[in-house]
Amino acid sequence: MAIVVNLDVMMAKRKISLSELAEKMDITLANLSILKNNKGKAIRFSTLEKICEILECEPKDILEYVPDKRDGGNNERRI
Amino acid sequence: MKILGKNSLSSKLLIGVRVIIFLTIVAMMLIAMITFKDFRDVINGQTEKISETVLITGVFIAGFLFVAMLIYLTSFLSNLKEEICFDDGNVTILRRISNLVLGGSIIYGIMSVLHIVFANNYMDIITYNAFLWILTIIMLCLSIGLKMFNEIYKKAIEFKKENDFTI
Repeated sequence: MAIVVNLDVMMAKRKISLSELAEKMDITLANLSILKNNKGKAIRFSTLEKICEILECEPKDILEYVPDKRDGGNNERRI
Repeated sequence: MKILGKNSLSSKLLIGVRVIIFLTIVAMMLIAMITFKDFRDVINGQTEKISETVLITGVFIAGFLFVAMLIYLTSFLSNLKEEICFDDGNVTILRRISNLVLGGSIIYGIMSVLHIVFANNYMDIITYNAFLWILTIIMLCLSIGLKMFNEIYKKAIEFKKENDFTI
């Protein structure tokens, strides 16, 4: 996938665990785990807003675009 | 009335389909006896019975496909009873059912052609053959309809998976 979620990096910087973040965000640990492990297909703006609010960061700190070498980075992903 | 889960329409339909499978197997045993008798008569020289034999044999072969289709339908209804709705397994089952219905339509089509070849008189052709062609066309349309439904079902599963992984 061309969009990489760097949630674990920000969580490490802010020294917050996954379960703590899930509790603060009011979403299940399973769902947050899906996001953290780059298994998610899409993220809602409301979810991204909550993450940025709790981790005090910007969306660019969480989401990174890494083009696939195979297809020249023409993958479309929806946020 | 709910469609999914225990005590739903699916669970009641499941019981009905199992009864139909049992009755179809019983009917096929009777048809097998008639088919065997007709084959014996044709071999013994009663050539006027060829068209009847063609019909009965075709119905007997189509019966196997019908039973297979019903068995797959019970699998599908069992999944609905367990509330397993948008699942790849169901897509496979529906695809197999549509292929079996297509197979049935091909058998009836072949029967229709053979019946014309071996028919004893024009009344036979007008009555039985017209019915056979109508059945062939209905089953062909049903098969195409099921394939279209299956494609829509696959798309629905795709949307569901995407939605499940939207955080």
